[in-house]
Amino acid sequence: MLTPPELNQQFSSPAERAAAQAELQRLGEFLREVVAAASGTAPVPGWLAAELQRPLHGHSEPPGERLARYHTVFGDELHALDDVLSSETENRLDDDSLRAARYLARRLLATLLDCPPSEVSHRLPARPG
Amino acid sequence: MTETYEFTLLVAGADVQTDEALNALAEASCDDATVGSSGGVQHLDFDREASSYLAAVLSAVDDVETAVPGVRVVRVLPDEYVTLAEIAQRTARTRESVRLLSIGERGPGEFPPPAARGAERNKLWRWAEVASWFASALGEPVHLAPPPAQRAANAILDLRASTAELGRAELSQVRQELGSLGRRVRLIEMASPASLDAKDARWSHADSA
Repeated sequence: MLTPPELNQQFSSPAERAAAQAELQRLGEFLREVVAAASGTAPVPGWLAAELQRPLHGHSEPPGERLARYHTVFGDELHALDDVLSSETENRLDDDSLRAARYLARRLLATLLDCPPSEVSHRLPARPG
Repeated sequence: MTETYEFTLLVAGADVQTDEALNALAEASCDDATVGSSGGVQHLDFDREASSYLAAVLSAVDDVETAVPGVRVVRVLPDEYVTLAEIAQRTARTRESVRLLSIGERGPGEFPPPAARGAERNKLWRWAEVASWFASALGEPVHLAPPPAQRAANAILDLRASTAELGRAELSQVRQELGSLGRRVRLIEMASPASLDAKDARWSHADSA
């Protein structure tokens, strides 16, 4: 598939759009913690430390190495997402961009947590930190 | 993987039919084009091999403008006239299915007559007439607009041409919009499942190495 799923669908209501925006904000905050931890500008938060301790694909890897590798492989995507979230015009995000950004955030966290994108929200704690 | 794409570039400015221009075009990888003129409009008909339609068109634009100083590509065709193959593509049918419709051996008949070129292989129809027939005769609503890649190619050419006539304040606005558009395109490109699957494979591969 060349474009994110459901990219061209309209949100059915303002409430659905607001929910998508809230989800993007929430996932974005977790991803910002990942970037800050990988860059050494903030300590590794508890939720991430726990995830990095779990074996990935059947074998373990030192948490610091796994975090650095994740940051290297997905650095461009993390940066692009941060751009979207940091943008002063974030409230003007068109529907396509909002859908694409939310899908990207879900996929990035799904890879990190080694779970399907649909389970990301349930795997994360209520709040970052 | 590459395919061969057929399209016509309309050009303005310098004469592209002089011996010097034709030689320059041939040397600039445009030996896959036939140069002509119709009603005072110069055109180059391309059969270009490329990885995508847009790659084919934009590389041809670049080659033509590099080869002949003073020439500007102003439009990509067909956006009005279509071949049977293009009708098949736009209506999601096989070429044979469209051919049978066009000669009345399938469907209710009265398919619009071709608008240009008599030879069987190169017949052209007006897309507006064909789309209207599909809607009224078969009850199949068909987009009147040309395919997205072709619209994108002409949008790029239109924008490029109009910037030469804009004032400073308008140029600044266009630059801001282009920046925003660039970020939007980059985001959608990165969020494509194919792109992310490739990254995931890299992540998993490095992990198991």
